[in-house]
Amino acid sequence: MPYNTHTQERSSVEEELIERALWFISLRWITVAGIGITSLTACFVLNIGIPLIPILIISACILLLNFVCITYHHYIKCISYRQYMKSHQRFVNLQIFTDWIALVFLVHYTGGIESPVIFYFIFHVIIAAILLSRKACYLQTSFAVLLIISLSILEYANIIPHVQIKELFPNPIYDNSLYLLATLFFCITSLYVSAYLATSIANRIRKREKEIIVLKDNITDAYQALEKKDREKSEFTYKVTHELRAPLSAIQSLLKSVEEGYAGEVSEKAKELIIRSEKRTGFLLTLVKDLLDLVTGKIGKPREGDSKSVDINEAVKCTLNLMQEKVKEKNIKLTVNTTEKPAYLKIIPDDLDIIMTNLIGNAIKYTREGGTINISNIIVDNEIRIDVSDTGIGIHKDDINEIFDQFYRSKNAKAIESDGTGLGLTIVKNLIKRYDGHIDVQSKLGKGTTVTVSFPV
Amino acid sequence: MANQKILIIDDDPDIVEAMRMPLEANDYKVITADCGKEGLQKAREEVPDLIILDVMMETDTEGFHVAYELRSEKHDSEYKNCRKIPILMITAISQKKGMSFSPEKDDAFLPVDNFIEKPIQPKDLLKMVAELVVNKE
Repeated sequence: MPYNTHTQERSSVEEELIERALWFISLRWITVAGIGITSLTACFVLNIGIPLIPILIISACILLLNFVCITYHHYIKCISYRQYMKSHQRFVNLQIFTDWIALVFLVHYTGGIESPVIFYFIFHVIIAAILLSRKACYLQTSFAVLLIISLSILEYANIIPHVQIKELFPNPIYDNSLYLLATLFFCITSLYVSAYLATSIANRIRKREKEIIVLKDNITDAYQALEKKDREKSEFTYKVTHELRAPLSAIQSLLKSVEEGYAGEVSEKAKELIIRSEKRTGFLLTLVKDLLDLVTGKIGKPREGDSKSVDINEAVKCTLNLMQEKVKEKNIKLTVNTTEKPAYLKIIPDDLDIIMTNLIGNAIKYTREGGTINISNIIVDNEIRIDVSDTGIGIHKDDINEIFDQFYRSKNAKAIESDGTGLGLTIVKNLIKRYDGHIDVQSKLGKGTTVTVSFPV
Repeated sequence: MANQKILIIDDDPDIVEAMRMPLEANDYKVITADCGKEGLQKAREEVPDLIILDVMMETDTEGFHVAYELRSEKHDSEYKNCRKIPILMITAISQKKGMSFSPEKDDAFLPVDNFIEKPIQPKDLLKMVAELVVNKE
């Protein structure tokens, strides 16, 4: 398991690299547009005599290069992810390298060492620091420095012709050796200092990123280990309760037969004792049943195929049928509002049965004689909602947050009904969570309780 | 009405005993089998009036297989003479048996006539047994 998460995290870093490479490519579109607009403005608006044709040719070359880059980027990414990662550094290096060449041509055609375009070298130093390693960034910077020095020396020595922009520099100063030295000194130092500053910050950020990934890995591992432990614990509980079920059932069945006199006459006292024993085993059986239901809800999402389309209206009817006697016994007024058409929900029928039995059972249990219970189903906003409200004993506001806790029973609940495992609502909540549903309880002490369950459909 | 014969197939001798007592007290003749294989054999030989069948025996679903075997529609089924015998299935508490309100009939649909949940309540047992035997008649 940890192996998987590591590869997954690494790929998120890789995703980031791909993002940045794309970002670099899209910056280049903007640059080309910038060069075009600036040179046209300089030429036609400001009437500066720059050699437009070579500059536009350079722009076209950059444009072409960028098309090649983006095509290569998508092509290699489609072929193989690994391959892309392997060639990523080389790819970025090559792009910066060609950008320098284009830039040096641009500088040459806009006045060589006198050109204000020379400042733009700094941008690529920063980009190299972001995309490449520290070493590669310094190498790239050195390459740029080499290009600038070569250009100025070649122009100084008149090996290549100097392009003079008269509107900016009426008197040429490229051949002034002191000016040349000073400009080169400040240009080179600014490039190296920029490289130093940018790589320092980039490295720091990268280190942090790595730390975050390690941290995330650790948290994921710990979470998975905990989840596994919890599952093992649930499985253990399931096995234990399962084992308890058969002997308890046998004891209870035998006691019942004895109590009813099938094993010979039973004295009044013996009968009373048997009934008491039955009550105790009965409680244990309820506990076993609740624990089994509780653990089922904890085991996780239901398997595909176990769930079926179930009509909520029918489910309510079925549950009420089984509880009719108790409703009559307590003389409870019962109203049921169902949806007009069947309200189908994809759920394991037994899970729904447990949920409905618990909710309606609670309403009956905690409603005094002559009280009212109202059950209604509605479909709203892509969810099925089931409301069970009663005029029962209600829940104290201090208890309302605890009622979903395992084995918790409030004082007033214990007073009205001494038996109960305190697991019912925990079971219901777990089961509802299995289907991404939601349960909400509104209650006023002494007035009644409304439980609302909703399932997405 | 002659003594009706009831076959109990269950591997838990205490549950068998708890059922045998009230049944015999009501003049049913009880025969027992403690596994699916023996149960099938006795069903074929004795052709009882009712079979009470536990689900979980050696395996968690042994009872289901016994029921399918007994109700098999195959023309060469060994248990042709048992097809009409009513089956009362014993289930454990909280055992999934598929609720009746699901409109989809599926694999979980069981060819049995009724269910009784453990622990056994003698009154319920006798009522169900009486109903199933009468229906058969």
